[in-house]
Amino acid sequence: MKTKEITRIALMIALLVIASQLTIPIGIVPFTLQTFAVNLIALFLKPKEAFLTTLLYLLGGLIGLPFFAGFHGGFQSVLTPSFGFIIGFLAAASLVSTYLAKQANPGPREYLIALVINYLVTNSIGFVYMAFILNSYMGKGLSIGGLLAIGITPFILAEILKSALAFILALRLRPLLKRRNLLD
Amino acid sequence: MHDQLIIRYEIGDGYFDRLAGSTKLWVFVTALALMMVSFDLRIILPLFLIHTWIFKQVYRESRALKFIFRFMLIMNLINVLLYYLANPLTGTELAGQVTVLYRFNDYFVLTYETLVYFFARIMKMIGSLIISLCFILTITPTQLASGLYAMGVPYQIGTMFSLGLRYMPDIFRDFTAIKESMQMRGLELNPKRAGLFKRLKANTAILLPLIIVSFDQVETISSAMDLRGYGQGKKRTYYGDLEPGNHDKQMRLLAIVQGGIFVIYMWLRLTGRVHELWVI
Repeated sequence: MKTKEITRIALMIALLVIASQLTIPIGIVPFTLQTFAVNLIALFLKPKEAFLTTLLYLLGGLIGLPFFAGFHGGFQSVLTPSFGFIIGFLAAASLVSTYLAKQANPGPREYLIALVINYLVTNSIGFVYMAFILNSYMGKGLSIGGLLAIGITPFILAEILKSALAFILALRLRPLLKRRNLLD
Repeated sequence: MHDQLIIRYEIGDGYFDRLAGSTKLWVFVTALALMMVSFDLRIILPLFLIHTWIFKQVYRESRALKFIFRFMLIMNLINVLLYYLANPLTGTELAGQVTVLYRFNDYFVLTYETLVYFFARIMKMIGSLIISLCFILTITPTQLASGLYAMGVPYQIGTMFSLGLRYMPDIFRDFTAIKESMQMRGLELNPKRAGLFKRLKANTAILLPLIIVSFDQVETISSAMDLRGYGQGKKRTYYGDLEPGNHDKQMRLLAIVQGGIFVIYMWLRLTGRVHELWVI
C-alpha cells in the first residue's frame, strides 16, 4: 500500500471521528455530521481506501477509542440498536466508491445515484440490525412501523440535507482536488 | 482543544502512564473482554474496583469526561427502565431462581434476581467505560501503533490510527482559522443575524477550503514519510514507545490474571456449571 493512501485514510478517519462528535441543534431531532462525512468518504476515496477508512473507524471504536457519536466507544456498542448503521457505513462507502470508480467522469447524475445507494444500503443494514437488537436481544416485540418510527422516519429530512450538502461539495471539490492531483 | 479530544500526545509521568504501549493494550483488551463476558458480580465488582482505582490515578479535569459520564449514566438508567417494562422477569430467567420482593400486578413483579441483574448491568457498563477511559487517558498515538505492532498487526494499520489521531488537533486548528478569516471578510454565522439556510451555506463555505487544506497536507506528509524511508521494510522499530520495565511486569501479570479468569469462566459457562447471573 502506498504511503499516500495510508496518509489519506488516516485523514479521513480523523474527519469521520470529528464529524461524529459535531452536533447541529436543528429542530427536534439533533443530528451529527457523521453520515455527511461517510458521504464524502464514499464520493472521494478509492474503493480500498473507503473500505479501510470505515473499517478502521469501526474497529477503533470497538476497542474503546471514543470514535462513535457522543464520544462513545467500546465493545458494548455492538449491543446498541444504532451500531448497525456503522456497519452500514462500511458496506455503503465501499459499494459507492466502487460504483464511482467505474465512471469515467462522474457528474451530477452519478453523484446523485451514488448518494441514493449510500442512503439505502446504510439504512437497510442499520434497520435490520436495529430490529434484531430491539426485538431479539432486548425483547421489545416492535412492529415494522414501530421500528421505522424509531430509527428511520425522524432522520429522513436530516439525511436529505446532509446528502445535498455532500452533493454540492462533491461537485465543487472534485475539480479542485483533481487539478492538484490530490485524489490520485 | 485538548480538553475536547481527551487523547494525549506525550507520555505522562504517572505509574500507569509509563508503561509500554503493548502492556496498556493487553491490560485494556483482557479487562474489557472479562467485563463484557458475564453478569457475575463476583467478577464484575473486583474488576470495577481495580480499574476505578487505576482511573483515579490517571484522571484529569475535563469537560468532555464529565459529559461522557453524565450521558452514560442517564442512558443506562433509561435502558434499565425499558428493560424492566419489556420483561420484568429478565434477571430471574438468567439466575434460574425466583425471589419475589413485591407484586405490582400479575405482570409487573419485582424480584430480587432482577434487581441484582440491573445492578450488575449498570456496574458492567460504567466499568467498561472506566476501563476504556483508563486506556485512552494513558495511551499516545505512537504507543497505540507500537502496541498493535507488538500484537502482530501490520504496522501500516498502526500508522493509520496514529496519524488519524494526530490529524485531529490540526483539523480543529485549521477549521477555526478558516472560520475566523471568513468572518473577518463578512461571513455571518451568528444565529441572531442570519437564518438557518444562510448559516448552512456559510458552514459549507468553510468546509470547502478545510477539505482542500487537509488533502494538501496528505501530499506533504506522505512525501515527507517516503523521503524518510517509510514502508521500505516489512519490519520497523518504535522510537516513541518505552521499554518494558518492572511496572510492565506487574501490569502484565494483571493482564494474565484477567485473561485466565476469562478463559476459565468461558469454560464454566460452556459446560453449564454456572448461570449467567449469580445471586447470593
